[in-house]
Amino acid sequence: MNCERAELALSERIDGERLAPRLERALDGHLAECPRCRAFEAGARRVREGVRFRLAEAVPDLVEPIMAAVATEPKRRRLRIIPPFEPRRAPPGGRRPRPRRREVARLGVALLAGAFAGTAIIGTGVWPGREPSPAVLAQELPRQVLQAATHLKGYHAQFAVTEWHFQPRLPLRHFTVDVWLAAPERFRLDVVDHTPYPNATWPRNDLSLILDRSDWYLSGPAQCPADAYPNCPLGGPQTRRVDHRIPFSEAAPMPSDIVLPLTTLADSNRLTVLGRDTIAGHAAIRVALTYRQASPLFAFLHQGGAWRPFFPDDRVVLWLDDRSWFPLAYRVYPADSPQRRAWAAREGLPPEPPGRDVFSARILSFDERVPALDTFAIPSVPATSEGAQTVDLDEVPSKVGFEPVVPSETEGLGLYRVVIPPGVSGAPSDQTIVAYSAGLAWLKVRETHSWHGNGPFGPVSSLAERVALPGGGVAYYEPATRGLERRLSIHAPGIDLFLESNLPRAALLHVAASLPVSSRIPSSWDVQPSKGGVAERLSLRQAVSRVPFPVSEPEALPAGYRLIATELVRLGNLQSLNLYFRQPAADLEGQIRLHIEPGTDLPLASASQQSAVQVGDTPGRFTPSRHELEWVRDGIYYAVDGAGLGLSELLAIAESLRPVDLPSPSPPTTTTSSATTVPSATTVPSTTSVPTPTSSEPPPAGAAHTAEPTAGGGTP
Amino acid sequence: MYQADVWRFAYHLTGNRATAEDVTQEAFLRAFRFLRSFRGDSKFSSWLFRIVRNCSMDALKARRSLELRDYPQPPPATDPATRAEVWDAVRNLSREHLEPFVLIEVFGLSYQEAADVLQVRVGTVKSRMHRGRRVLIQGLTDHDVEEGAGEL
Repeated sequence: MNCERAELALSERIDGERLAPRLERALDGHLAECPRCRAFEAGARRVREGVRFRLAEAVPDLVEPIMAAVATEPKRRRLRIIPPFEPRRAPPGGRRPRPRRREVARLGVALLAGAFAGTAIIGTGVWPGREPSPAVLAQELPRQVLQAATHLKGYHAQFAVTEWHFQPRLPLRHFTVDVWLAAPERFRLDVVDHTPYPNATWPRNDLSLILDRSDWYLSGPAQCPADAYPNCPLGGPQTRRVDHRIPFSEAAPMPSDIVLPLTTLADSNRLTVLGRDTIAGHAAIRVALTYRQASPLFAFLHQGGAWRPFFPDDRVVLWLDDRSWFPLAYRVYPADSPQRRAWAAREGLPPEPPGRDVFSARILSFDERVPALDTFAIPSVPATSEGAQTVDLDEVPSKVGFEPVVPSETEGLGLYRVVIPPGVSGAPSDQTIVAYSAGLAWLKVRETHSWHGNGPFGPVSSLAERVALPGGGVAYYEPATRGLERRLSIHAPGIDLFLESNLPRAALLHVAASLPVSSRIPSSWDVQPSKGGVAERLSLRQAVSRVPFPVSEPEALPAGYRLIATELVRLGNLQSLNLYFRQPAADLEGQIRLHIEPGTDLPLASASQQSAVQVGDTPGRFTPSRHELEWVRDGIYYAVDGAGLGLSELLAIAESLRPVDLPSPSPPTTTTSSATTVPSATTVPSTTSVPTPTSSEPPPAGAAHTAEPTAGGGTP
Repeated sequence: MYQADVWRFAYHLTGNRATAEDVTQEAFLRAFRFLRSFRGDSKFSSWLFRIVRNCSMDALKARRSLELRDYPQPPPATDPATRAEVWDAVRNLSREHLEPFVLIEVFGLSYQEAADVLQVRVGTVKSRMHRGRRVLIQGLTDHDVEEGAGEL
């Protein structure tokens, strides 16, 4: 076989075309000997990766114009008339989509939508009989993984793990990792270190984490700084045990994303599907995300033992079994940036080229049977207590003086455990925690009747998003962050509730809405003390009318981010505004903040590493350590920071600032959608404009409902 | 769902967002108009792609101006160097190479499906795909080819 022929066959094979077995063998034989053709293959894969990364780009939503255009077809024109369509926004470059301003037949549109759906448009697979496109898969993944999680009963898998550059004298370490699970809360993870250490003074990184409902146990080597090796002065393995554990405690956690990456994949916004592979004989989907996003998958590394560090922007490639969604393999590739190189130097790492993985885990076997329960037996060593007292639901009134409220909808989750958490000084509190579970999916409701704080109950910020519950009422909502899952805090007269769950946002809101309380938010919570002044939470609309300076908001934000709170800070006569942007499902990257205040100069330099940059036509300053960009324009000082953003992303945000464009005053919208933001508390619609009639025909009565205003920031 | 893929394909072929939006609308209009003529001898998706391609060609003829290409902006995520390079190279492919490349590599069509869309023989798709790929790889060979993530 010559190279020309081999390349042609390779190309076919890479594209998933079936080769004749004889051709296949000849090709493999040729590849084994021909570096040039191997380079071709590597190049082709590199091209593929480069190309597929792009697929998550923003695609304009053209369903409405298409339906409008289709419905203007002459044949259908006799149907009922609604106002003409106006394109929602001029695209960059100034050209507008060709407007079709003839009357639109709503009924016709509906029929057509149905007709197209019937022609196999909608469903999980876009292309019948073939792979859905990567972008579609990325959207589908979180739902699929949740589905799998609620049905998971048991699991055992063994991984081979390789780690590079732990320490200059130990460039390579090898481990096997065994993971067992009996849902919901029996879990065991054993790490066995197979590295050939130079001598016995090197501590082996053997680790064991066992969790049996209210008992939690960890044994591993003492953590020493990497450059202290081989002489870690802290000595041998250390053990820790926690009993009376709170269900799904974040203090004694169960790093179950290694079994099913429920938290890691909670949000598809930044997830990229790269393609398909076969891992250990299983069909797998390969996805890419940053280490920061994938950190729940690596949570087991943070439980104990000594491991190499990773940079937040490092790239994680993850292979998921396309049936069970178990992670079959994952690899970490170094990010390629000056910040990464500076960080690596500080960490004492050698130069790490971005194309070489520095950590790799690969499944050797897995099994979905429930392991024998003695797998989760915990050695009897002294324990510290987390103070939770497990009780029966009907014992609760006699212990805390109230009967806990119970949601009537639990999304298929069953009652799992009821505990009374510890109060101050370790005595039982007058609170309850009722936990529900199905497979790996869980929900817990914490209740108190004696909350006097000036903000939401539970680990929820007073700047958290305020959401309308489907049946009425208002709650504070926080997306999943490192350590904590999605959370809701609900206040009702005489009762405060805190909900935490790894269910998706909409499901959590649905459960919350079924709680028999009428929630509201005390107006006193809107004003909080803030560093010598006061911070008042208000709507963007109120902010614009209250402050004596123009207010701008960004039109461009990283995927998934949206405005969730506006804060007016008053320090004497000085007024400034903070706009907070977050992601709705999981916020492992943190929030983005835009600060606006009158000013003519940048504040004095406050970090050692800052650089002058140009923000449009204005000089500005970039502070990498704070991920912050500052500039002054027309007598206003602006600062954008957060979410681990780099300069180019910050500049894109800065350059997209536009004066807040408030729609003409209208009565407060009442929404019934489960995921909408409360208009009076947070966002005002700003990125969607309502179609307006432009023809001379008056809109007919009864047609107004076709121009439904979209509440700000609805999830896509 | 279809709409997004139609727009993407139009965008790859025309290289301009606004044009891609027009093409998407036009393609669905034509698809609707000719839905009855869809004979079921190829997949619906191939048929729709074929319409998108025709609409894109019409739009390009009408426009006949490459300055309108606003694609691709360097995409903003991990490993930007590789992707910027790859997309630069893709942008410079001839249409003969670009069309099969986008259909097969980006949309995951089979050679037969791509041949249906492009109304050429499978063998032609095969050789165009390979030639396009070689052009792209050659564009990258001045950088050393590192071990790719796909080789587990």
